[in-house]
Formats: sequence, structure tokens, C-alpha cells
Amino acid sequence: MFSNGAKTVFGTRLGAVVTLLFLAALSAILAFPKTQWMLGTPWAKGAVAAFALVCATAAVAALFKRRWLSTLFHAGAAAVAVGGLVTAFLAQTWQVELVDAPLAPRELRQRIVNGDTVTLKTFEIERYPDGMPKQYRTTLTFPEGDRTLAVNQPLRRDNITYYQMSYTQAIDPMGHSWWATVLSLRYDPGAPIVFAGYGLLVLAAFGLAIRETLR
Amino acid sequence: MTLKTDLLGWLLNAQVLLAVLGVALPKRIGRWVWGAVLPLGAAAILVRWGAVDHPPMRNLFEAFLWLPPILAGATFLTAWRDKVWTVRLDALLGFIVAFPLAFVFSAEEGQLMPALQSPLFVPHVLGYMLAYALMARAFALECARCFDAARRSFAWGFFLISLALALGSIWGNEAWGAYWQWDPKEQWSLATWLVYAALWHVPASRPWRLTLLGIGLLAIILTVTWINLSKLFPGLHSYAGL
Repeated sequence: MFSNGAKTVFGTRLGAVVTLLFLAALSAILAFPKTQWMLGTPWAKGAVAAFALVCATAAVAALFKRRWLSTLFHAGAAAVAVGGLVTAFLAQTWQVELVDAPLAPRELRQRIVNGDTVTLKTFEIERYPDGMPKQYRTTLTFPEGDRTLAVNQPLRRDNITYYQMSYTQAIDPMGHSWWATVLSLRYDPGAPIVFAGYGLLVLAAFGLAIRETLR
Repeated sequence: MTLKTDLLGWLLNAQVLLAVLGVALPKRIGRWVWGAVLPLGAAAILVRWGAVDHPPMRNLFEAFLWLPPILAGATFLTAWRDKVWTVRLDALLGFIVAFPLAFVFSAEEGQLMPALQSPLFVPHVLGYMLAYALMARAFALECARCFDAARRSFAWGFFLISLALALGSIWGNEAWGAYWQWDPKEQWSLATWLVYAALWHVPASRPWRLTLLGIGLLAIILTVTWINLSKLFPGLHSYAGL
């Protein structure tokens, strides 16, 4: 089972174990607020690229040895890393605040997205009996008509996803306060690649569990 | 440390007592005493569910409610599949999770914030609770030298930990606008997953399997306690304000 010529100690693939434990330690360290700046450096992207390469190599090696579950698993891990790189290089996010006041100037209620005019129509806050917010909804007017988005129910249009993030208040010149909806607009071509990778990974992990059960 | 004296509180206190008896009593009686945690734990979940009107998974108290009955269920599953009774070991793990549940965590009720209202809420949290229980058992079983049972527990735990991580990421992409946000809990969940991924590269019954299972369990414990509860890690999964 382990006769693949890789460096092993008593059957243990030492290289893989050391690499994965190193990455685990790195991931744990990056949870600390003071280390977050490291994520922005080219080293972070380089590490993900190296990981993708190692996983892809392992997938091909497993394919030659006809170890199907291992192939599937490493291909999935490689896809997740590649998708992550695509996101890191190509994804874009815009925060947009639109004021829900009928007389607010147009630039406070409207944005041009990919050449189309997007206007805030309504913003509603649904509350629990004790006053806690239950859900918030924004209805936007696009050239083709009105569409609504809410927390956990993003709106997908023209490769851009519109997310309901939160809301805030805007004060008009008379001192009256109006709700402003806070949206996040995101273009992320990496996400489908990452999710395909998850699919392969989880499928392979399921296969491994079945194999261990039947052993 | 408080004693909860309502119906839910007594269902929890009883589970602590049953877990202690499960460890202390002779195996033949102990298995049925510990096994009673399964219906009792299920009853506690239902009572809480009825009281808060959402699946009880909103905070650590509600998530931990699931652990003792899962562990008791796993005892019977292992007895049926592997023909070994792991009563003392599971009862000990059950005690470790039931104690803070009954006497430390606050049972204050609250409503689901908008971000938690998703079909992925239940599978994500339940997947992790099942996975964590199985990984804790895998470590304990490896200590007790029940290697086959330990391998199976680990393999299903790994499937569930992968599934729950993927579902969490997909959910994050629906709710927060990105599938990965470098949130402290995400980082530690990934670290935990990587440790267990390393374990697949170590063949059965090697001594350092136990070390890796131990590191993984330590990472899980730190994830649900230190990372969740410390103000040092402000993030999307923080319960420090509770």
C-alpha cells in the first residue's frame, strides 16, 4: 500500500505529514490579529500556489497507482487551492450605501453597475416581538424590473452577487433620520472552482469512510 | 457555576450523574445507566427546541446539548458494529461535555439573528458536533487500543469535518459575501482539518497516530473554547459577548 518510492518511515509518508502539520500551525497562527498582515503579502499567495502544485502532483501519482479515492481527494484539494488563487487575484468587492429617503439626491439612491442603473426602491426591517431585527430586505430597481435581496438571500445578476450586509442611518439637512441599506457587490470567479473542489473532497472523504467501515 | 433548577436544568444535571455512574459502575450495569443519556439528551434537545422555537444550535450551550446523546448513541453503534463496549470511555467524554453544559454555560434564551437563518445552519452545526464527538472518541479508542473502532470513528469524523467545513464556507458565501474571510474560527477549523488530513498518511497502529489524534483533539478543544470565547479573537464566530 505504501510502496510508492516516496520517503517513508515505517510506512508513514513523512513529507506529507510534516507539510500538513506545518500548514496547520501556520493557519492557527494566522488567527491572531497581529499576524493578519501576512495574508496580504505575496508569500501567502505563493504558499497557496505551492500547496496546489503538491496536491495536483499527489493526485496524478495516485492516479498512476490506481488509488481512486486518493486521486479524487487530492484533485479536490488542488481545485480548492487554485480557486483560492483565482479569488485572490481576480475577485472584486464594492461596499455600497443607498439611502431610503424619497427626496434624497440621486447619487445617494442610485449606482451604475456594469453600465446599468440600479436604484433603491425600498428597504424594510422585519423585527421579532422584542424588537430584535429578524430580517432586512432591500428591493432594487434594475432596467428589467424590481428584485429583492435579504441576509442569506443574495441576488445574482450579470456575474455580480448583491449581498445585504447591514444597515445604518443617514441624517437629512433638516435633522430627520432615514435608513440606509448597506450592500456588498462582489465579483468572484474563484468561488465555483472552490465549490467544485469541496464536492470532490467530500465525495472522496465519504468513500474513505465507507472503505474503513467495510474493511 | 450555577445549578439550573428548571425542567431543562434537571435533564442536564441527570446526564452528569448518569455519566459519572457510567464510569463508576461495573460495565454490565453501567452500559444501561450511561445509555439512558440517549433518551434524556434527546428530551433535553426537544425541551430547548420548544422553548426557543428554533433548532437549538445558536450558541455553545445549545450546540453542546447535542454532544452527550451523540456520544451515548456512538457507544451502542460501536457495540453493535465492533462488538466492544466502550462505556467507561464514552461516559468519561460525556461527563467532560455535560459538566459545563449543566453548571457553567448560561442557558439564556435568544432569537436567531438574520445571518443564522439559513437551511445550512442545521447541517453545518450538527455536522461539526457529530464530527467533534467522533474525533474525541477516536482519540479515546486509540488510547484504549481499540484500533479498528478508532479508525472507523476517525474516518467518519473526517468525512463530517470536511462536509461541515465545506457547508460553512458555502454558507459564508451566501450570508457574508465571501467563502473564506480569514476569521479566527475559520483559521482554527482549517488547522484542525489539516492535522486530521495528515493522519491519513500514517498507517494503522503506528504509535504517532495517537499523537496526531491528540493534537487534533487539542485543536478542537481550543477552537470551541479559546477562539470562541476569548476577546483576543474578535470575529464572525465570537461568543465572547455572551
